[in-house]
Amino acid sequence: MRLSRIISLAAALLVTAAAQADAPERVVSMNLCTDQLAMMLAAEGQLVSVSAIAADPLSSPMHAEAAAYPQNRGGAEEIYLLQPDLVLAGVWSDPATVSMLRRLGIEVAQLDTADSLAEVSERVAEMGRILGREAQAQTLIRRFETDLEALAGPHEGPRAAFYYPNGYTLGRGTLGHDLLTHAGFTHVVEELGRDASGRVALELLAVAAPDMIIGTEPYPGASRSEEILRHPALRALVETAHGTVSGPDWVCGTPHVVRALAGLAQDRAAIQAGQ
Amino acid sequence: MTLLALNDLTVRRGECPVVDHATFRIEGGEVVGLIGPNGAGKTTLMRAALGLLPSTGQSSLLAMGPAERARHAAWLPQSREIAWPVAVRTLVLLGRVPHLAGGQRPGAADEAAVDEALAAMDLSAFADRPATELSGGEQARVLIARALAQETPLILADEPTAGLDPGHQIAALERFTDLARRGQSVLVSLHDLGLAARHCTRLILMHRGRIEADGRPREVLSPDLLRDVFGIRAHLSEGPDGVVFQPLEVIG
Amino acid sequence: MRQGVLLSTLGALVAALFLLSLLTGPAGFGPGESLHALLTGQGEAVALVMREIRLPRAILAVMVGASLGLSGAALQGYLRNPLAEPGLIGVSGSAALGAVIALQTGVAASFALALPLAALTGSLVAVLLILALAGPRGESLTLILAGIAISALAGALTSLVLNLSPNPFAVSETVFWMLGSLADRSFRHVWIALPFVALGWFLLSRTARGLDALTLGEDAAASLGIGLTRLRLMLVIGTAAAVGASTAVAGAIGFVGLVVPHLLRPLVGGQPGRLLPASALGGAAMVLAADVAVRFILPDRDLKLGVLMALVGAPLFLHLIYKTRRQLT
Repeated sequence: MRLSRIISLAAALLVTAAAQADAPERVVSMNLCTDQLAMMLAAEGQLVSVSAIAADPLSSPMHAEAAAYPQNRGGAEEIYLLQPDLVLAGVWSDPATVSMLRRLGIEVAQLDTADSLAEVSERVAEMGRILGREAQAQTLIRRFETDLEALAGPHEGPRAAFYYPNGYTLGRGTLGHDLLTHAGFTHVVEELGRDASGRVALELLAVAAPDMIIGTEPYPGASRSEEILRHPALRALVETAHGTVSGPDWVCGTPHVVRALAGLAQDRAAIQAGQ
Repeated sequence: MTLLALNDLTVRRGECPVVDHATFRIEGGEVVGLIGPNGAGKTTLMRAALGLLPSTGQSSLLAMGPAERARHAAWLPQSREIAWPVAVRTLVLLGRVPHLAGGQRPGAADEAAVDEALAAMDLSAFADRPATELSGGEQARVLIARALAQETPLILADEPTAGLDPGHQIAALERFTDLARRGQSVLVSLHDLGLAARHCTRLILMHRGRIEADGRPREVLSPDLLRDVFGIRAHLSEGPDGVVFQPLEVIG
Repeated sequence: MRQGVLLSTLGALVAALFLLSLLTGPAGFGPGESLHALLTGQGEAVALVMREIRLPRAILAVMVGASLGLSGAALQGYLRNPLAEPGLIGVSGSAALGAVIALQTGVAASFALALPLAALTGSLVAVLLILALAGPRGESLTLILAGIAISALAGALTSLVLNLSPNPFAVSETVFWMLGSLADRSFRHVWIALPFVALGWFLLSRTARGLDALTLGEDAAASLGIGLTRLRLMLVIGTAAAVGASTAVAGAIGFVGLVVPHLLRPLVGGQPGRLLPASALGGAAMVLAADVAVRFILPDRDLKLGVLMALVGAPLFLHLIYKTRRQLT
């Protein structure tokens, strides 16, 4: 018994050591979501650069941490000059840049987006494997799943819909949908005449009249895309309904989504108190 | 009654005078032919008299406001511009613009003036045709009719007969003579000295911006002036058919 | 009299299309329910949709269409050239540049009329440039070449300003400014555009007699007592105000001012003055129809109005160039 224990422990140590010996030493991330996962999991000095957007408070929940890293703008040339042995990218990263980096002999790992809460844990585990930091990844996943359970809401609840710049709404099969339903809201995307994400006419939103409308924080500078969020009809809707914004915590499938869930729980309480 | 009085009217292009101290008067009942070789300054003189070009000296027309001037003098430019396919009648009706107050629609008097002008230019049959579909000569007659319909005491016309067939050339000048009989006057530039000699009561000969001669056709078309100004020799006689003038040869 | 018949027919067409525009939308209300809610304000969601979403959109279609039709007819009358059109000669594009600069510098937020004023300034510069380059008689070749140059410059600068914007959405909006759309416009847009559009209509409607007289050329028109300087001033300010304000709220919509006067010219006997009111109504009808069509063809894609206009207008433009090509060489 004892011996076998020692053997298994030794084997585990060996595997870990092998993994660490194999682990990349200079990692550059060029995608907002891989930036966050890498910053959470990377060993000291392992991550040498994150994308510039990771330092933008409007998009990145880890903008303060990102300030400590040199930033890149996602160009093949500047990334190559950082001499990475691994580049982290998203599946939607510029294919020209990705293939150029691979031609230059740099390994590029592309991570898929997380479209559900279950996939958040998968991404964390995947990043742990890539960086050779499985143990840290497992710790993170355990904490995340405990938090999730604590924040689970009832099956049915206030009716909510997304309304983003250009009249864009989120459908089923998105992380936003999963967050909303997990927090105890009913997502009324079917009432908007669709199942998937896409543009939805303001008048359909007015007819659906949800209890809560989730918008976005305006960016600096003007745009016609965001102008619709100031449309008198939408303002009238938000006045009668509850309005909130999906901040940076909503953007990527990382454990930070628990903060979004906590916000949603407060919104639900406020709406139900109002009713 | 004096219809036009020019006094030392001068137009300069740079330093060079294109019209040089032109002075003359036109009384009622005259058909004045303005003759001279190419570049003598005939068109410039008429445009300056109307205030379409900056000038020095005096023109009695410049003393008037634009509306009053438009009721006093009609201008028939040499370039025969008809920009849009409007009906002949509509185009001639434009001659009534100076007689209409802002927003006022043309009345019976205006229609009558248009009918008369169309008949005078032998255009009654074309009244409803788009003016742009007519031949060049027909268009020229439409534009003369437009000037006639303006019913002004004075008409200034720049080469109105160029491109017209002989019958309509004569008809146009006879209309001017009719106007003169009613006390109106016409200042008309002409290259056809034969027509000028026969139909004008008076000729003004311009050369290099100056008025070289001003008087009855027989005096102005003297052999000396013809030689000095036009460089030609011509036949001129007065018989039972009136004045007959025919250029004969170029003198070197 | 015939003019009266034409104008009432066009007026009825505009009214019918206005109604159709009010009844077009993804929320499938019945016509009775929609109009009842529009007039009485009863039925919360229906009234909100009718009064705040569809009504301003239909009103703007009329304002923008009439402005473009009227400006096209007036410019063509003045330059005596059927190719003169605010979109093609860069007036709309320059107005869009003015609007984009005002939006991106924040000037537009400083006071309510700053946005249309900036667009007006842009279109004013373009009209003055065109008149200076094309000369009093708008020769086709100079007109088109000057128009290409002004359009290209305005488009490039618009793109540059949007590229410099800190807003991630702004970059992709070049297409709105160049092709125009009325999707989700509100009464705010109606009110800021209205004073300038009204000023433009007033000034342009007073050019009718002068444009008629210009059929005979500048000299003859002047001798008929038409003040050409005043006429030019009314035309320039009128066009800049109407096109500028329209573009500020709806983007640059091309070809309306080309197609509408071309179709209506034979019906008014070619008279530029009579063409003005007819083109205003015709332009309104055309933009209303196009705005209904974009909602039918691709309901959830915000198909740009300029796309439809170009599909109709560009072949006609080529046809006109073919017809006037002798004048071009």
